[in-house]
Amino acid sequence: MPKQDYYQQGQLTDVAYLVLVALTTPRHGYRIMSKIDEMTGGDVRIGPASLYTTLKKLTDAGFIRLIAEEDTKKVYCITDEGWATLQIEIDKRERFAAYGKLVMDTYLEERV
Amino acid sequence: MKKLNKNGRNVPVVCSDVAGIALAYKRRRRVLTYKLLTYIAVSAGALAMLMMLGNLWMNLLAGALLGGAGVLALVYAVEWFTFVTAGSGRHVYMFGNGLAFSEEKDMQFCEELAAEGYALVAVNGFGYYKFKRTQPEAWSFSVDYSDVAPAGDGFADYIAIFQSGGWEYICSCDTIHWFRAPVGTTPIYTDNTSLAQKYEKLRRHSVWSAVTGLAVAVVSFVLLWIFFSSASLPVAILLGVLLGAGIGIALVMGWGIVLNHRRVLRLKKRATI
Repeated sequence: MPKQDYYQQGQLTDVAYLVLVALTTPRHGYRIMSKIDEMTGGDVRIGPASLYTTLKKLTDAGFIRLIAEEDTKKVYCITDEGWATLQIEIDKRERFAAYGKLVMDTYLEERV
Repeated sequence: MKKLNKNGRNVPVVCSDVAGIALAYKRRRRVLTYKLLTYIAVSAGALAMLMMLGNLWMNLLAGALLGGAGVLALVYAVEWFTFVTAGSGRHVYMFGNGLAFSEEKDMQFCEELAAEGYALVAVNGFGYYKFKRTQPEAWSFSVDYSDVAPAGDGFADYIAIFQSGGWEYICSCDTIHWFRAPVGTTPIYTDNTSLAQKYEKLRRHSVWSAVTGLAVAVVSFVLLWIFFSSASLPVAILLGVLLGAGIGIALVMGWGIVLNHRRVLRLKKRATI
Protein backbone atom coordinates (compact mmCIF):
# COMPACT_ATOMS: atom_id res chain seq x y z
CA MET A 1 0.00 0.00 0.00
CA PRO A 2 1.50 3.36 -0.97
CA LYS A 3 1.96 5.54 2.06
CA GLN A 4 0.24 8.88 1.81
CA ASP A 5 2.66 10.82 3.92
CA TYR A 6 2.57 14.55 3.34
CA TYR A 7 5.60 15.17 5.53
CA GLN A 8 7.88 12.85 3.59
CA GLN A 9 6.87 14.62 0.39
CA GLY A 10 7.93 17.89 2.01
CA GLN A 11 4.35 19.10 2.30
CA LEU A 12 2.87 20.29 5.57
CA THR A 13 -0.70 20.10 6.80
CA ASP A 14 -2.13 23.34 8.19
CA VAL A 15 -1.62 22.08 11.72
CA ALA A 16 1.99 21.04 11.05
CA TYR A 17 2.65 24.42 9.39
CA LEU A 18 1.38 26.32 12.43
CA VAL A 19 3.32 24.10 14.84
CA LEU A 20 6.49 24.65 12.80
CA VAL A 21 5.93 28.43 12.88
CA ALA A 22 5.43 28.27 16.66
CA LEU A 23 8.68 26.31 17.01
CA THR A 24 10.85 28.99 15.39
CA THR A 25 11.39 29.76 19.09
CA PRO A 26 12.04 26.75 21.38
CA ARG A 27 8.80 25.76 23.13
CA HIS A 28 7.15 22.85 24.93
CA GLY A 29 3.61 21.52 24.44
CA TYR A 30 1.67 24.08 26.43
CA ARG A 31 3.64 27.01 24.99
CA ILE A 32 3.07 25.72 21.44
CA MET A 33 -0.68 25.58 22.04
CA SER A 34 -0.85 29.05 23.56
CA LYS A 35 1.37 30.49 20.81
CA ILE A 36 -0.90 29.10 18.09
CA ASP A 37 -3.92 30.37 20.00
CA GLU A 38 -2.29 33.83 20.17
CA MET A 39 -1.10 33.84 16.52
CA THR A 40 -4.49 32.93 15.11
CA GLY A 41 -6.52 34.94 17.57
CA GLY A 42 -8.18 31.77 18.83
CA ASP A 43 -9.32 30.70 15.32
CA VAL A 44 -7.25 27.53 15.44
CA ARG A 45 -7.33 25.27 18.45
CA ILE A 46 -5.20 22.15 18.36
CA GLY A 47 -6.21 19.16 20.46
CA PRO A 48 -3.46 17.59 22.62
CA ALA A 49 -3.49 14.24 20.82
CA SER A 50 -3.25 15.98 17.45
CA LEU A 51 -0.36 18.11 18.72
CA TYR A 52 1.47 15.09 20.14
CA THR A 53 1.10 13.18 16.84
CA THR A 54 2.19 16.22 14.81
CA LEU A 55 5.29 16.78 16.99
CA LYS A 56 6.26 13.16 16.49
CA LYS A 57 5.85 13.31 12.73
CA LEU A 58 7.73 16.59 12.44
CA THR A 59 10.57 15.11 14.51
CA ASP A 60 10.66 11.96 12.36
CA ALA A 61 10.76 14.11 9.22
CA GLY A 62 13.71 16.05 10.68
CA PHE A 63 11.94 19.43 10.65
CA ILE A 64 12.13 19.88 14.43
CA ARG A 65 14.26 18.35 17.14
CA LEU A 66 14.16 17.82 20.87
CA ILE A 67 16.57 20.26 22.51
CA ALA A 68 15.86 20.00 26.24
CA GLU A 69 13.59 18.63 28.93
CA GLU A 70 12.15 21.04 31.49
CA ASP A 71 10.90 18.94 34.40
CA THR A 72 9.08 16.33 32.36
CA LYS A 73 8.20 18.59 29.46
CA LYS A 74 10.04 18.19 26.19
CA VAL A 75 11.22 21.37 24.49
CA TYR A 76 11.40 21.33 20.69
CA CYS A 77 13.00 23.68 18.19
CA ILE A 78 13.00 24.02 14.39
CA THR A 79 15.99 22.59 12.44
CA ASP A 80 17.74 23.94 9.32
CA GLU A 81 15.73 21.52 7.25
CA GLY A 82 12.62 22.83 9.01
CA TRP A 83 13.50 26.43 8.10
CA ALA A 84 13.93 25.41 4.43
CA THR A 85 10.57 23.63 4.41
CA LEU A 86 8.95 26.58 6.14
CA GLN A 87 10.25 28.90 3.40
CA ILE A 88 8.77 26.65 0.69
CA GLU A 89 5.47 26.45 2.56
CA ILE A 90 5.24 30.22 3.06
CA ASP A 91 5.94 30.82 -0.66
CA LYS A 92 3.34 28.25 -1.63
CA ARG A 93 0.71 29.68 0.70
CA GLU A 94 1.44 33.20 -0.55
CA ARG A 95 1.08 32.10 -4.18
CA PHE A 96 -2.21 30.34 -3.42
CA ALA A 97 -3.53 33.42 -1.65
CA ALA A 98 -2.42 35.61 -4.61
CA TYR A 99 -4.30 33.43 -7.14
CA GLY A 100 -7.44 33.72 -5.07
CA LYS A 101 -7.02 37.43 -4.49
CA LEU A 102 -6.68 38.06 -8.24
CA VAL A 103 -10.02 36.49 -9.15
CA MET A 104 -11.67 37.95 -6.08
CA ASP A 105 -10.60 41.48 -7.02
CA THR A 106 -11.95 41.02 -10.57
CA TYR A 107 -15.23 39.72 -9.18
CA LEU A 108 -15.59 42.64 -6.78
CA GLU A 109 -14.77 45.19 -9.54
CA GLU A 110 -17.32 43.69 -11.92
CA ARG A 111 -19.99 43.83 -9.27
CA VAL A 112 -19.58 47.56 -8.69
CA MET B 1 -17.73 23.47 20.55
CA LYS B 2 -17.37 20.93 17.76
CA LYS B 3 -16.20 17.40 18.29
CA LEU B 4 -15.02 14.93 15.64
CA ASN B 5 -16.53 11.48 15.75
CA LYS B 6 -14.68 8.36 14.61
CA ASN B 7 -15.59 9.04 10.98
CA GLY B 8 -14.29 12.59 11.16
CA ARG B 9 -17.73 14.19 11.13
CA ASN B 10 -18.81 16.73 13.66
CA VAL B 11 -21.14 15.54 16.38
CA PRO B 12 -22.72 17.52 19.18
CA VAL B 13 -21.28 16.97 22.64
CA VAL B 14 -23.30 14.12 24.11
CA CYS B 15 -23.71 14.93 27.74
CA SER B 16 -24.51 18.57 28.26
CA ASP B 17 -26.76 18.37 31.28
CA VAL B 18 -26.80 16.09 34.27
CA ALA B 19 -30.57 15.73 34.43
CA GLY B 20 -32.29 13.33 32.06
CA ILE B 21 -29.43 10.86 32.00
CA ALA B 22 -31.09 8.52 34.50
CA LEU B 23 -33.16 7.08 31.66
CA ALA B 24 -30.05 5.94 29.78
CA TYR B 25 -28.78 4.31 32.95
CA LYS B 26 -32.03 2.37 33.39
CA ARG B 27 -31.94 1.34 29.72
CA ARG B 28 -28.44 -0.01 30.24
CA ARG B 29 -29.64 -2.09 33.16
CA ARG B 30 -32.46 -3.56 31.09
CA VAL B 31 -30.13 -4.41 28.18
CA LEU B 32 -27.78 -6.06 30.67
CA THR B 33 -30.57 -8.22 32.07
CA TYR B 34 -31.50 -9.42 28.56
CA LYS B 35 -27.87 -10.17 27.69
CA LEU B 36 -27.37 -12.09 30.91
CA LEU B 37 -30.52 -14.18 30.43
CA THR B 38 -29.55 -14.96 26.81
CA TYR B 39 -26.09 -16.22 27.71
CA ILE B 40 -27.40 -18.23 30.66
CA ALA B 41 -29.93 -19.87 28.33
CA VAL B 42 -27.26 -20.69 25.71
CA SER B 43 -24.94 -22.12 28.39
CA ALA B 44 -27.76 -24.23 29.80
CA GLY B 45 -28.57 -25.49 26.30
CA ALA B 46 -24.94 -26.42 25.68
CA LEU B 47 -24.78 -28.18 29.05
CA ALA B 48 -27.93 -30.14 28.23
CA MET B 49 -26.37 -31.14 24.88
CA LEU B 50 -23.29 -32.38 26.73
CA MET B 51 -25.43 -34.48 29.08
CA MET B 52 -27.40 -36.13 26.31
CA LEU B 53 -24.96 -36.69 23.46
CA GLY B 54 -22.30 -39.36 23.37
CA ASN B 55 -20.76 -38.31 20.08
CA LEU B 56 -17.31 -36.77 20.54
CA TRP B 57 -17.68 -34.16 17.78
CA MET B 58 -21.00 -32.99 19.15
CA ASN B 59 -19.42 -32.81 22.59
CA LEU B 60 -16.68 -30.68 21.15
CA LEU B 61 -19.20 -28.29 19.64
CA ALA B 62 -21.20 -28.14 22.85
CA GLY B 63 -18.01 -27.57 24.81
CA ALA B 64 -17.05 -24.64 22.62
CA LEU B 65 -20.54 -23.20 22.96
CA LEU B 66 -20.50 -23.65 26.72
CA GLY B 67 -17.07 -22.04 26.92
CA GLY B 68 -18.01 -18.95 24.96
CA ALA B 69 -21.49 -18.39 26.39
CA GLY B 70 -20.42 -19.35 29.91
CA VAL B 71 -17.62 -16.79 30.01
CA LEU B 72 -19.91 -14.07 28.67
CA ALA B 73 -22.64 -15.04 31.15
CA LEU B 74 -20.11 -14.76 33.99
CA VAL B 75 -18.87 -11.39 32.75
CA TYR B 76 -22.36 -9.94 32.47
CA ALA B 77 -23.42 -11.50 35.78
CA VAL B 78 -20.66 -9.55 37.56
CA GLU B 79 -21.73 -6.36 35.79
CA TRP B 80 -25.43 -6.96 36.43
CA PHE B 81 -24.80 -7.66 40.09
CA THR B 82 -22.81 -4.47 40.62
CA PHE B 83 -25.47 -2.49 38.79
CA VAL B 84 -28.36 -3.89 40.77
CA THR B 85 -26.54 -3.26 44.04
CA ALA B 86 -25.20 0.11 42.82
CA GLY B 87 -27.34 2.07 45.24
CA SER B 88 -25.39 0.84 48.25
CA GLY B 89 -22.09 -0.10 46.62
CA ARG B 90 -19.09 2.13 46.12
CA HIS B 91 -18.01 0.64 42.82
CA VAL B 92 -19.73 -0.27 39.56
CA TYR B 93 -18.19 -2.35 36.77
CA MET B 94 -19.00 -2.20 33.11
CA PHE B 95 -17.83 -4.58 30.44
CA GLY B 96 -16.76 -2.53 27.41
CA ASN B 97 -17.99 -3.69 24.04
CA GLY B 98 -14.53 -3.69 22.48
CA LEU B 99 -12.90 -0.41 21.50
CA ALA B 100 -12.63 -1.42 17.85
CA PHE B 101 -16.44 -1.57 17.68
CA SER B 102 -17.88 0.76 20.25
CA GLU B 103 -15.38 3.39 21.34
CA GLU B 104 -18.04 6.10 21.13
CA LYS B 105 -20.62 4.01 22.97
CA ASP B 106 -18.10 3.32 25.74
CA MET B 107 -17.21 7.00 26.07
CA GLN B 108 -20.88 7.99 26.05
CA PHE B 109 -21.59 5.51 28.80
CA CYS B 110 -18.72 6.91 30.88
CA GLU B 111 -20.32 10.34 30.43
CA GLU B 112 -23.71 9.01 31.48
CA LEU B 113 -22.30 7.31 34.55
CA ALA B 114 -20.36 10.45 35.52
CA ALA B 115 -23.62 12.34 35.39
CA GLU B 116 -25.12 9.62 37.59
CA GLY B 117 -22.36 10.11 40.16
CA TYR B 118 -19.95 7.35 39.13
CA ALA B 119 -16.45 8.42 38.11
CA LEU B 120 -14.25 6.23 35.91
CA VAL B 121 -11.18 5.10 37.87
CA ALA B 122 -9.68 2.17 35.96
CA VAL B 123 -9.91 -0.11 32.94
CA ASN B 124 -8.35 -3.57 32.95
CA GLY B 125 -7.03 -5.81 30.20
CA PHE B 126 -10.26 -7.78 29.93
CA GLY B 127 -12.19 -4.66 29.07
CA TYR B 128 -13.79 -4.01 32.46
CA TYR B 129 -14.42 -0.36 33.27
CA LYS B 130 -14.39 0.38 36.99
CA PHE B 131 -16.36 3.32 38.40
CA LYS B 132 -16.32 4.86 41.87
CA ARG B 133 -19.23 6.58 43.60
CA THR B 134 -18.79 10.38 43.70
CA GLN B 135 -20.83 13.51 43.06
CA PRO B 136 -22.81 13.70 39.81
CA GLU B 137 -20.69 15.73 37.40
CA ALA B 138 -20.75 16.50 33.69
CA TRP B 139 -17.55 15.31 31.96
CA SER B 140 -16.45 14.46 28.45
CA PHE B 141 -14.36 11.32 28.03
CA SER B 142 -11.78 10.39 25.40
CA VAL B 143 -9.53 7.44 24.75
CA ASP B 144 -6.21 7.60 22.95
CA TYR B 145 -4.01 4.83 21.55
CA SER B 146 -0.39 5.83 21.84
CA ASP B 147 3.04 4.26 21.64
CA VAL B 148 3.98 5.03 25.26
CA ALA B 149 3.05 2.94 28.31
CA PRO B 150 2.74 4.56 31.79
CA ALA B 151 6.13 3.15 32.83
CA GLY B 152 7.74 4.15 29.56
CA ASP B 153 10.02 6.99 28.62
CA GLY B 154 8.15 10.10 27.50
CA PHE B 155 4.88 9.27 29.26
CA ALA B 156 5.09 12.29 31.58
CA ASP B 157 5.53 14.56 28.56
CA TYR B 158 2.57 12.89 26.81
CA ILE B 159 0.34 13.46 29.85
CA ALA B 160 1.62 17.04 30.25
CA ILE B 161 0.54 17.87 26.69
CA PHE B 162 -2.94 16.51 27.38
CA GLN B 163 -3.11 18.48 30.61
CA SER B 164 -2.19 21.65 28.73
CA GLY B 165 -5.13 20.97 26.45
CA GLY B 166 -7.45 20.67 29.45
CA TRP B 167 -7.62 16.86 29.48
CA GLU B 168 -7.12 15.15 32.83
CA TYR B 169 -5.47 11.74 32.77
CA ILE B 170 -7.53 8.97 34.38
CA CYS B 171 -6.01 5.56 33.73
CA SER B 172 -4.28 3.31 31.23
CA CYS B 173 -4.36 -0.20 29.93
CA ASP B 174 -0.95 -0.79 28.40
CA THR B 175 -0.58 1.90 25.71
CA ILE B 176 -4.30 2.82 25.68
CA HIS B 177 -5.12 5.84 27.84
CA TRP B 178 -8.34 7.39 29.14
CA PHE B 179 -8.86 11.09 29.75
CA ARG B 180 -11.64 13.38 30.89
CA ALA B 181 -12.30 17.10 30.49
CA PRO B 182 -15.09 19.55 31.24
CA VAL B 183 -17.82 19.45 28.59
CA GLY B 184 -16.93 21.83 25.76
CA THR B 185 -13.13 21.41 25.98
CA THR B 186 -11.34 21.27 22.60
CA PRO B 187 -11.40 17.56 21.56
CA ILE B 188 -8.13 15.63 21.78
CA TYR B 189 -8.04 15.22 17.99
CA THR B 190 -8.83 18.27 15.87
CA ASP B 191 -7.73 17.16 12.39
CA ASN B 192 -8.42 14.09 10.30
CA THR B 193 -4.76 13.44 9.45
CA SER B 194 -3.80 12.74 13.05
CA LEU B 195 -7.17 11.08 13.77
CA ALA B 196 -6.42 8.58 11.00
CA GLN B 197 -3.17 7.76 12.79
CA LYS B 198 -5.05 7.10 16.03
CA TYR B 199 -7.06 4.37 14.32
CA GLU B 200 -3.97 2.98 12.63
CA LYS B 201 -2.65 2.34 16.14
CA LEU B 202 -5.93 0.74 17.20
CA ARG B 203 -5.72 -1.47 14.11
CA ARG B 204 -2.29 -2.65 15.28
CA HIS B 205 -3.76 -3.56 18.69
CA SER B 206 -6.53 -5.57 16.97
CA VAL B 207 -4.01 -7.39 14.80
CA TRP B 208 -2.16 -8.61 17.89
CA SER B 209 -5.37 -9.80 19.54
CA ALA B 210 -6.42 -11.60 16.36
CA VAL B 211 -3.02 -13.31 16.11
CA THR B 212 -3.27 -14.43 19.75
CA GLY B 213 -6.75 -15.85 19.18
CA LEU B 214 -5.59 -17.63 16.06
CA ALA B 215 -2.58 -19.11 17.92
CA VAL B 216 -4.84 -20.47 20.70
CA ALA B 217 -7.17 -21.98 18.09
CA VAL B 218 -4.32 -23.60 16.14
CA VAL B 219 -2.64 -25.07 19.24
CA SER B 220 -5.88 -26.53 20.60
CA PHE B 221 -6.75 -27.90 17.14
CA VAL B 222 -3.36 -29.61 16.84
CA LEU B 223 -3.70 -31.05 20.37
CA LEU B 224 -7.17 -32.33 19.50
CA TRP B 225 -5.81 -33.88 16.30
CA ILE B 226 -3.12 -35.74 18.24
CA PHE B 227 -5.21 -36.83 21.21
CA PHE B 228 -8.54 -37.16 19.43
CA SER B 229 -9.02 -40.90 19.94
CA SER B 230 -7.41 -41.17 23.35
CA ALA B 231 -8.72 -37.98 24.96
CA SER B 232 -11.03 -38.33 27.91
CA LEU B 233 -14.29 -36.42 27.82
CA PRO B 234 -13.23 -33.54 30.14
CA VAL B 235 -10.03 -32.99 28.15
CA ALA B 236 -11.97 -32.99 24.86
CA ILE B 237 -14.43 -30.48 26.29
CA LEU B 238 -11.62 -28.24 27.55
CA LEU B 239 -9.87 -28.31 24.17
CA GLY B 240 -13.21 -27.66 22.50
CA VAL B 241 -13.74 -24.63 24.73
CA LEU B 242 -10.25 -23.33 23.86
CA LEU B 243 -10.76 -23.95 20.15
CA GLY B 244 -14.12 -22.20 20.21
CA ALA B 245 -12.75 -19.24 22.17
CA GLY B 246 -9.68 -18.93 19.91
CA ILE B 247 -11.71 -18.99 16.70
CA GLY B 248 -14.18 -16.55 18.24
CA ILE B 249 -11.48 -14.06 19.24
CA ALA B 250 -9.77 -14.32 15.85
CA LEU B 251 -13.06 -13.75 13.98
CA VAL B 252 -14.21 -10.85 16.16
CA MET B 253 -10.81 -9.15 16.03
CA GLY B 254 -10.56 -9.81 12.28
CA TRP B 255 -13.85 -7.97 11.87
CA GLY B 256 -12.49 -5.21 14.11
CA ILE B 257 -9.44 -4.88 11.85
CA VAL B 258 -11.66 -4.60 8.77
CA LEU B 259 -13.82 -1.91 10.44
CA ASN B 260 -10.77 0.06 11.55
CA HIS B 261 -9.06 -0.23 8.21
CA ARG B 262 -12.12 1.20 6.49
CA ARG B 263 -12.29 3.99 9.06
CA VAL B 264 -8.61 4.87 8.46
CA LEU B 265 -9.16 4.99 4.68
CA ARG B 266 -12.25 7.17 5.13
CA LEU B 267 -10.38 9.60 7.39
CA LYS B 268 -7.39 9.77 5.04
CA LYS B 269 -9.69 10.61 2.15
CA ARG B 270 -11.15 13.44 4.21
CA ALA B 271 -7.79 14.60 5.55
CA THR B 272 -6.86 18.12 4.58
CA ILE B 273 -3.38 18.94 3.38
